[in-house]
Amino acid sequence: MKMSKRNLLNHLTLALLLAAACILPGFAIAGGLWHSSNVNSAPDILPVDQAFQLQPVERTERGLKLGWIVSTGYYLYRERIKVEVVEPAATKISAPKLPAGEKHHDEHFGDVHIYRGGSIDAEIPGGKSLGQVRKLKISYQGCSESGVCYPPQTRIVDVLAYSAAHP
Amino acid sequence: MNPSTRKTIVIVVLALVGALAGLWTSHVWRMSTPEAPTAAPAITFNDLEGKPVSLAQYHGKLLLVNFWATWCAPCLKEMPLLIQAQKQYGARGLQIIGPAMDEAKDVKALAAKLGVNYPVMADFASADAAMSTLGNKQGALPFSVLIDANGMIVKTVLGALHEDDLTALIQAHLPQ
Repeated sequence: MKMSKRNLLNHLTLALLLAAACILPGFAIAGGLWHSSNVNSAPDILPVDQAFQLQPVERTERGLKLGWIVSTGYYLYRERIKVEVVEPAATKISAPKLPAGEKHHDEHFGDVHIYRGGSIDAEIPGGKSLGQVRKLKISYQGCSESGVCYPPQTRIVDVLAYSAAHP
Repeated sequence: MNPSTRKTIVIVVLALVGALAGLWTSHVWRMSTPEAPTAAPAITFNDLEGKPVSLAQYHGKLLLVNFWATWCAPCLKEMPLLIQAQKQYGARGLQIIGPAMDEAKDVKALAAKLGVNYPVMADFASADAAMSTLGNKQGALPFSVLIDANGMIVKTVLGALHEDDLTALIQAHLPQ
């Protein structure tokens, strides 16, 4: 007996429904397990030194050059970058000249500026007057776009000699 | 074998394949579920007056430890949700505490401004060490740990809590 097209369609629909009826409970169980039993829920985030790669501080003719490479998916707050001299102690320097950054309004922090993934170059002007500066303390803070923030970071770094920075 | 019988066999085979796929899917998901709840470690923070606050003193309550800081925008964004949860479920056994990786004066000012209705602490070193013990090696915030009335960690969340998930978690683990 030859099966009509309509019967064939009915059989196929039945088969698909049966298959779905068998597969969907698996996903339902899986979903339930995720919500009720997963103990740890965390986005994958980079270690802070990979998220914000502080570059070596170089001496230039205009002063000191520093910078970061910010990984894609991360951002640094412009207003939380601070630089102080560690050696020689009590040496005063100008605030670093930083790129403008992207304007960002936060309901708690107000208007701030952020640097998203990419390269940030900053300069501390001062020319030869900075010739004695050997160590800097650099502070910065940033977050992942996934919705978590790293604690403020502080690094003590050597200033590369002019010859080392420009061999 | 006539065509009708052949088609019936095909349908049965398809259904069997579906059933096997369902079983396999659920098995794989069960196998990939991470570790079971573990006992909360002995952790103590200092409150804003310098008095010690231990996790153990909340035994018998559903304890939500929410690590935060005044410099953390996602932390501040989720705090109204926590304030609401404490208000709604406090009488039924929920206790939230908020150790901050911050200075006491900043924490006091912001907690007052936001109307925080649960104990907060400001103890950068203790909070950092506690987070590391609890599995948050990066020290990133916000970080929340839900500990049931028996002192078992039932959930850790790195990142902001969402209202639906938080409500479901609290309702599932409130003391009986």
